[in-house]
Amino acid sequence: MSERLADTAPPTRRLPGEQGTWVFLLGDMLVFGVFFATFMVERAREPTQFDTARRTLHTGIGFTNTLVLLLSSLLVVLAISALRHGLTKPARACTLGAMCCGMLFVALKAAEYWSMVAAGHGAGAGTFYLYYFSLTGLHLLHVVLGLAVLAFVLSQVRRPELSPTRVAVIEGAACFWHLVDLLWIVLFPLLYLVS
Amino acid sequence: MPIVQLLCTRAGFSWVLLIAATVASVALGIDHGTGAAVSVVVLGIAAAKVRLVGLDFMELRHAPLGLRIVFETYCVALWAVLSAIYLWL
Amino acid sequence: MQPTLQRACAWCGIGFLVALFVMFMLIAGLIPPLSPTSSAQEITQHMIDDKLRIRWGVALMLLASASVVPFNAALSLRIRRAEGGRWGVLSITQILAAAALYPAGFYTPFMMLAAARIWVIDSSPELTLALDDLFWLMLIGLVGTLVLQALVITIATFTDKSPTPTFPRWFGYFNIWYAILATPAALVVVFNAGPLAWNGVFAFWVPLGAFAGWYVALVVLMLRSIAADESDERPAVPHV
Repeated sequence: MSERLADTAPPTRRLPGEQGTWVFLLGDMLVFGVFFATFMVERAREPTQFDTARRTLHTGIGFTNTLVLLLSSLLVVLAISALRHGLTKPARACTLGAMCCGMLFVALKAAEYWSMVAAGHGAGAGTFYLYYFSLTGLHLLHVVLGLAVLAFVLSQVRRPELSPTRVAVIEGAACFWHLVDLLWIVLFPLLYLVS
Repeated sequence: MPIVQLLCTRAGFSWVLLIAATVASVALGIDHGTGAAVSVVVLGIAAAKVRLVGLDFMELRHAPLGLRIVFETYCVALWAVLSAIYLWL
Repeated sequence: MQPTLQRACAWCGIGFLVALFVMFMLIAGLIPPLSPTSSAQEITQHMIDDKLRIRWGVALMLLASASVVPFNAALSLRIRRAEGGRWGVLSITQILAAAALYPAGFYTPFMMLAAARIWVIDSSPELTLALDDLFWLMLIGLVGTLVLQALVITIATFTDKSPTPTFPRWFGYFNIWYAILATPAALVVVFNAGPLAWNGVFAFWVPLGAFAGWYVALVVLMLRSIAADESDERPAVPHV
């Protein structure tokens, strides 16, 4: 539910999506948490090497990608809001917009990978790069899955009537996209900014 | 246009905060040596951003309390564990 | 008789996990795995040092790992039920994917490892190394069929139209999660060291943990479904 900041009446508590959605989302967050921690432990073993390698990353692309994903998440929020208000056209437009952002992320990432490999900083160039490509690669897999999920949402937007289960699945799908954003929000500083 | 109205919501406001936080963390984290306390701050900003995404984008602010508590615990634990490894290993 | 048999088959899933733990890990000592970057000398030495353990562990595993067959038979029947009681494409995919598990995922790699012993005695370290490599790659590389099984379960769960679904909806989501977690294991073919090697966090430990959790959940839910079926089919006893 979209709410004004000045809202004083507390909305009733409701679960976004279904129970199973959160089994999945929390599970994914937990596993990525383990991966983040593993990276930090490896970093502690060779801090100077990791820092040197970190500086070869394209922080500009990483920063742009963060903004791209944040924008896409906002568009998804707007799409769901529009869907709830029965505004089909804006819902479609926002979902498409979010998908475009997602594809832009993939394109930027591909360009970044390409340039890094070309500069000799491929996955085999050192422990940092190994983790960099593994972590961002797994995240990229999530982005691609997220695009498929958003395509599903797009297909549902046009339906005249949505059963409660379908609504729950769509909400869950939106939450998955936010998860993709959330994971990058941690990955970006972890890989590009922390030394 | 309804979209503009929808933007002036909690989610829209959180989004602005997220953008600002991203810029701030880049400015902070871009150039410093190893072992700096700045990294802990950068991680903290990341955890705060995660929290905002969860609460206002994933709508956990109005989810059943159990779920919200689990999520908030995750944010805190993430920051604590990563910072601890950073500072003490 | 059939529900009891099905139940026994479902329990084989737990049996397999126990065998994995006892025979593979405790007896043979193969978990944690040897590093992919170990030299031929190191592998050979390890084989000579631990040869009795490894031989016995592998021999027992050859038998015990066959328990995945009845387990998957029971699972196939569950999926068939979810498809509406007929052998639809999902249940057949499940059978085909599971059929590969024992021959390609256990029998062949274990034989590779067993053969490594013959060459150890004949002191050919390079061959020992090659066979050991093959063992690990084959064992972990079979993950593709497991991911496929998980996806089949996901689709079966979400498209189950019966009034009493075979698997609860949350399990569909759980299987998506498992599929994602298991996928990096395929990268053991690419990486020699680090988290995506066959002794690495992302490609071995996490998929292994997820696999164990997945099997436990499967056994519990399968037993629940079999029990529900049984009570459905029990004819009502008329009171006289």
